[in-house]
Amino acid sequence: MSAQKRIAKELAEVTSNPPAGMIIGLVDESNVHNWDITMDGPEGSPYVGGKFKLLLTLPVEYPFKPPTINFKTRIWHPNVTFDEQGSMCIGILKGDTWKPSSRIMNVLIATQNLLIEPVPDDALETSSAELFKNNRPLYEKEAKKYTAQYAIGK
Amino acid sequence: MADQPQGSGNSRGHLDATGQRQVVFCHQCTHEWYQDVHGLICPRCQSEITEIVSGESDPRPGMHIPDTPPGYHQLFNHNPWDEDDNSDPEEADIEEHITHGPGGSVFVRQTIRASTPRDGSSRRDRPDPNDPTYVMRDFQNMLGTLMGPGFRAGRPGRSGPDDLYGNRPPFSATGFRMGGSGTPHVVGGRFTFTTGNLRPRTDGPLTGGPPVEDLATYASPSSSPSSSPSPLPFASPNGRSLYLISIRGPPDEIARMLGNIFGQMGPPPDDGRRNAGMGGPPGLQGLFASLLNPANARHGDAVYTQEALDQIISTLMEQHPTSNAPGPASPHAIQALPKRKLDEELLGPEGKGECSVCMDDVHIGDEVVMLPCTHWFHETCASAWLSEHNTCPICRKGIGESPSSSGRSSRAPNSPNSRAEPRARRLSLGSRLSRDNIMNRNEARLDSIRATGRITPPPREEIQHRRRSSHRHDSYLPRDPDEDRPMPGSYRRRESEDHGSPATVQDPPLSPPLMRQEVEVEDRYPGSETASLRSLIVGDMSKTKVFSVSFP
Repeated sequence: MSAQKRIAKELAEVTSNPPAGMIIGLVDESNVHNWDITMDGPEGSPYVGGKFKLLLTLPVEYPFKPPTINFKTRIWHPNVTFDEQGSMCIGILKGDTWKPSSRIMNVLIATQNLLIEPVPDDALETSSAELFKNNRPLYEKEAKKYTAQYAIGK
Repeated sequence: MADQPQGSGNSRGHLDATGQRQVVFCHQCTHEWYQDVHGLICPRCQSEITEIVSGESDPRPGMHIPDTPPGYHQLFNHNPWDEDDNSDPEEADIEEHITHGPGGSVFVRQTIRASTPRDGSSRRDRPDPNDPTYVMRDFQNMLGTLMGPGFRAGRPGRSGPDDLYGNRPPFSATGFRMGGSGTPHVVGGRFTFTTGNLRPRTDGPLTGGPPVEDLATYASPSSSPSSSPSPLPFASPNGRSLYLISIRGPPDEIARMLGNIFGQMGPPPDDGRRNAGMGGPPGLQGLFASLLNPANARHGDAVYTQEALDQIISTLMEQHPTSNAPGPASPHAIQALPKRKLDEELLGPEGKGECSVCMDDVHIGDEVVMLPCTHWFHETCASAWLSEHNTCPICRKGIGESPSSSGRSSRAPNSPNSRAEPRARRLSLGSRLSRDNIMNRNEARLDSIRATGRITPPPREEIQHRRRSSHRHDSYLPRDPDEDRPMPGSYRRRESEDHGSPATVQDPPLSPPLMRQEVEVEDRYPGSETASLRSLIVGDMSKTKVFSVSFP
């Protein structure tokens, strides 16, 4: 099955040469479809210092269907739901923009960039999006507060 | 049936939907029942096309939609003929077109073909259509419609008469009458509002009203003076009436003037209750804003403009992100993709590469399919993707026309972030094909109105000024099929081919009952620059209602 093969190949690629600030592994060694990712809050973002656990799920149709990413660590961010799910909305993973040549490496780097630069026009959390657009200092303060609360020292 | 409408819960033979129990209505057989008894499927005909009746939406026959909820657009219940035609027109007899004309104009046409002949007896309770107050009320209603829910004719906080016309017959001195006895009358009037340094008539309807600077009303000399002081005495059902309202002023005054006019007009007699407590008019800016706001062309499930429809579609597409993914390529197109053996030209000097879909290594000599964008893949990899999405897995360019996505495939969505593009394309697909035709017809109508009413035509330069903005017409007056039917005491309408030269028309063409109103807001003022409002024309002909608003 080409999906398994490609996933294995991609896993090898990112584990051998992970993007900066990421630890990547499988949730369950027998299942290559669920990846366990720990992402450091990137420099230049209010999430710096936090360690965020992410679940990356690859559908069986991968690469013909996009993977999904959920923040298992709560994060206060315009494009991530502030709930148990931690669903993330990012352009590269949308059904209408996904293309099979996108790689998980691209997805992870895009996720990191999203923490640095939210996309408030595509927001899932309107309150943080409004703050990001209209009151950047308060947004950063709030994001830091929640990062400290949920993502530091846990 | 046991739960047929009966007892105290009835409202005009219907179950009471306002109580605690939910009433379900079957659109198939018009049966109705309580939801807690029979559920959502019609117990009589097993139809699933049912609707829970609520206060806001009561589909049952005979149940009136309640008063327009606040915030709803006036068009929600809009029927300008409601008040002068008791016979409910068949749905098929109502035609409403709203189109965008050139130069940003909005053109609304509503035609109601009444199934009953319009004779005198059936308009007993209607307001006299020859009454200028009625004309103005219609005009005001139309503007109210355009201006959205925020607009009501209000009373500005100033002293003076609240009603433009007061209690006495307005403009009676300016009304004129044409035609001898036995022929249909043409009645009309000419109202001119002006600001600036023109002096108001001291005996005008605004006596004691706002100061000179504000607004003045004066009557132009009419071609056939009629000095009868009583209400315009020509209420012949076969007559036609024509009113010309001109507003003149410096360009920067127009907005204020319009606001003043609306403020001056008292609420329509039978609308006073509804309009009570509404704020002042928002002025021309409000009018433009609401005209340009597609949200105002939207009422519940119904849209009135292409743009409003487009907005709804965009919203839907954004709510269902995957649904605007490109559709599949046709199997034929996938099969027709050229196959190639990989060579050094494709793989480069290393002679190695990988398929971007499965990421398997490929070597020189392997067979791949080549997409029009020159990206290549394993045949199985490419067809697996293309059979779901007609895009290149790398650059998202389509591989050609396919039946299910002909519109999209040509879009060639090279950039994943080109969300705005499809919207722009859809906008251009709007049904604006007939706008010139409609504008021409409107011109023809106006000319004809001027001709038949023997209103002194505007100066030639003014005509040309107006015609520059629209093409010359070769069109005709739209005719209702009804009008071709001979009616007692009526005459066949004469084609007015000579409407360009009013002087040649000696008698008004005879026609079935016909009422026309023309309201013109002119933007011209001697020595001034062109105002932002070019023209506002209301033609109200027989059963066809026309108004157009255009901007430069």
